[in-house]
Amino acid sequence: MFLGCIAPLRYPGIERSAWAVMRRLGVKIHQIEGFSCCPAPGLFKPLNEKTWLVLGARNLSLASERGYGIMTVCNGCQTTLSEVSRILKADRELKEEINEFLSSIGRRYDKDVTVRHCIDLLYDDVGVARIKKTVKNSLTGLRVAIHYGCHYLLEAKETGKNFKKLEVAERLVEATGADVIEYTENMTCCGAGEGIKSGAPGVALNVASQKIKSIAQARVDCIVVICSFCLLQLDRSQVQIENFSRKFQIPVLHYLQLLHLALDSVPAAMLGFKSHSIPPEKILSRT
Amino acid sequence: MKSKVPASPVRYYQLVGFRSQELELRKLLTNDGRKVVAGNVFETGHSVRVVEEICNLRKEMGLPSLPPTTLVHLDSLKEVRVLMKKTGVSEVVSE
Repeated sequence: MFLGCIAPLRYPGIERSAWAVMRRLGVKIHQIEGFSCCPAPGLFKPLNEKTWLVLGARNLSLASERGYGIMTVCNGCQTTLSEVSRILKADRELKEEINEFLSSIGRRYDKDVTVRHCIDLLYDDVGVARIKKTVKNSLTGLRVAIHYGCHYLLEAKETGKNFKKLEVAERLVEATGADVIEYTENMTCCGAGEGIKSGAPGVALNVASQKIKSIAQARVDCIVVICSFCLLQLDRSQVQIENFSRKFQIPVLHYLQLLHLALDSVPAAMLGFKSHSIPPEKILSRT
Repeated sequence: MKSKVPASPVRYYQLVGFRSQELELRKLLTNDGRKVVAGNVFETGHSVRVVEEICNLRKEMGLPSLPPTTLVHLDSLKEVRVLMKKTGVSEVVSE
């Protein structure tokens, strides 16, 4: 399991839920020691593409030398690791160049690593039917807005999926018993990626605000995301918006937290909502 | 007919949503924010800083106070720093 930065250092509930959910569904995941930031695609790639490739390849090499694949819980990590893996697979010369850098720290990246987003692993390998069967605490009546996030949609597009008719997250949310509620800006960005949050915070907030307004009109109980960075943006932005305009108070959680809640009657403290800016009261009443 | 790009980059961003690579908005960005984040990675191996409250929350949840990454394995952090120096990004960060 590759956690990246935001999940373990801002929303540890995602990490806790990932372990619990995968164990419950019989998926073997391992902790690999010594990973770093993926590194973040929107920040490192424009700054220095070689660094982006080399640090990505170092992370891949840690999994590769143990013969493991990688599961991600963040769209940014998924993009970096899968893209670096794809690029190096296609370009032998570049791979050798990257390996030259890695040799300075005594590493080498040879065997290709499969990189998969946790929701693809749940959808394709575990399957919606098995998840439905395993649910003990059905979330019937919970109104959920889904936010995919740009990097997942881009990768879906690049790998030939019909990204306008994606149903992965929809079916996975429905498997918990919750209702998926449509809203007008469901395919737009959270506003954080591509370095926007750090480079143009006002713009990032403006984009998030548009999205959250659209979600508020759909009168949902919560927003479910599949990316730790989108979670940070949609959760924390609501507090910033509240400071100068409107109060939304729509809880935001990662799909793994929602599924954790549905699979077991888990104590609220184990979901890590303490680090979320918007308290998910309607969700906590289900624990 | 070729579709018109709206004058406001913000609106354009909202319209294209997922096509972030094609953003007009990119023109607004400088490397300053990126350098800060890269600096964090050079120091800790991660893009965000460690916060004590989160370390405590991790412990409450039965997780180690820090994830077993470059934050704990200093030999791994050393590797990241060597690679950042060799690829030249550490110079950009300290500019």
